[in-house]
Amino acid sequence: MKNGNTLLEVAGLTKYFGGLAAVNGLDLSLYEGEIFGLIGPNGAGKTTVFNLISGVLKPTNGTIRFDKKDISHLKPNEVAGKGLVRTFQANVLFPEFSVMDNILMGCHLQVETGMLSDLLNTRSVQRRRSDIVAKANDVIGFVGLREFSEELAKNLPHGHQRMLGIGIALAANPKLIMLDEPVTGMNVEEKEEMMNLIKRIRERGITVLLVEHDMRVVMGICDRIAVLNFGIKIAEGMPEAIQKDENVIEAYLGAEQ
Amino acid sequence: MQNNIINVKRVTVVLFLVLGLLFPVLIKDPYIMHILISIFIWSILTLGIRVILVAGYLNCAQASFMGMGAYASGVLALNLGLSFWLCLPIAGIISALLALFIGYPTLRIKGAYFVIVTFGVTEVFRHIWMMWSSLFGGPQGLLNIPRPEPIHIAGLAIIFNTKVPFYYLALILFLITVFVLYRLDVSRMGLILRAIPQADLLAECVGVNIMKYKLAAFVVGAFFAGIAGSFWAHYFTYCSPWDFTFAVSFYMLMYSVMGGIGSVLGPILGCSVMLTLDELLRPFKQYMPIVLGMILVIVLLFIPGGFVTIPERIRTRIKRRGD
Repeated sequence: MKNGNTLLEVAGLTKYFGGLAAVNGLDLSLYEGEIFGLIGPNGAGKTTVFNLISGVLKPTNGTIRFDKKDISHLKPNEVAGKGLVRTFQANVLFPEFSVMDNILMGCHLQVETGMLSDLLNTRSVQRRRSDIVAKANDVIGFVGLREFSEELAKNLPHGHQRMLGIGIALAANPKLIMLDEPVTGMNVEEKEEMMNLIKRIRERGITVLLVEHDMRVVMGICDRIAVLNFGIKIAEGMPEAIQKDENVIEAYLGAEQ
Repeated sequence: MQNNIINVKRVTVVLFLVLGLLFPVLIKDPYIMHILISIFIWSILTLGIRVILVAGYLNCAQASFMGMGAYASGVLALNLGLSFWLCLPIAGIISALLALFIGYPTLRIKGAYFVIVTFGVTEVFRHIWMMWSSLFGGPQGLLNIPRPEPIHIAGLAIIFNTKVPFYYLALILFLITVFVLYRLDVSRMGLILRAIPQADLLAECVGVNIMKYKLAAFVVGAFFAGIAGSFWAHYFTYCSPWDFTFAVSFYMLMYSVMGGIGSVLGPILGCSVMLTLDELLRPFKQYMPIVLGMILVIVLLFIPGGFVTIPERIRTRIKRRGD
């Protein structure tokens, strides 16, 4: 798997907030089809990296190349258009919409037909709409929410809301999906289910970038892991190697005096 | 069951349509006809303001877009002698273009800031109309704006010297607005606009160019405001800076919230109820703002979805009692 093509290439990525470097000279390479974990103590800059890659924040320095194209300065919707879609840490959903409408929002890039033909409800719009509903149903089944399809998102339990968040991202047909702490606040069974889902996402040929606190989950499913501390990458490698790495242990447990 | 509801809806719509068309034949009172014309025009304005309101933007400049339509139409008719039938669409387009220029920078900001900016826009326009006397007539505004030219259909001349033709014109404009904005509401654009206040960043991160949709919503709303303004100017034959103040936009916002912004029916209902009430309470005109304020508070506290949700509320209450 490591010999696959490079899908995402981050080089010298730097972000300053005022005088503080939240991310400093980060290099990352993600290969097609792998599950890549990004870990680090609180405040290490993981979420900032996410925001930079997805276009929510603009980098101070450095480049982000996705699928051989520079995406460093694209807007979030343009980044999504390239096939790089993210989820959010908190349960960011469209709470007042049904599960179906949430997923349909995710399908946006495949439905957009131009406002005028939309307004006139032309035949091609109608045809495409029924195609999209079929696709949305497929995604809803994939994340295990079939029986909740007409339920409002705000009425779902926490675990299902997380699944829905991932469903929205999947609906956008990503080549690379970025998951921001997907198992936060989940019980053991829900975590198991989520790990399964992530593996199944990979089986669909989608590359996964995972930010997570839960070591069991990260060690359990990631092919490779990078460790961030104070905005700098301190280690990168296979899970077994990371577990033994002294720099990593030091960052998490503090250095011995 | 589903079919039943659709049929009931359809029958009601047709019933109202027939009633609307036959009204001038049944009741010839020009006073009542004037109230209905006001309701139609105000409905166009509030339906227009609702488009961007569902995206979470309180547009306080809708009265300015109406005013721009009125002034543009008046100036074109008075200075260039253009026919009303040309002025009407041009007024809509001018208002829409203005909304495009104003919306492009301002729709990037949210919440209270947007309210303040659009309030500022209203004041700027009012001062332009006041100060540029040579073109806009200063504080007294434009006078003697011509009535719409007669239309000849199959040898029959429709002359705009009574309320009846104005009534039908307002009705047609109203129906076009309702139709277009209803289609917009049930289209993908409607879904996206409703999604924006819930999670705009999420929408962007799945590829929605939300700025484009917000701008389109703002421009469409302003277009219909311009059309309404043009009608207004040629109906009253004058317009002045005092007709298009911040307060007017605020009434539009209040009516749409009272009626309910959940569907296109809400603003129509809001305008119908409130303007009728306004007429009924005419002898107590000076107390009207108090009544209006109280109704607004009551609606916000007890029926947050607006008047349109009342039948649904009653239905669930009956069902609960039945259980």
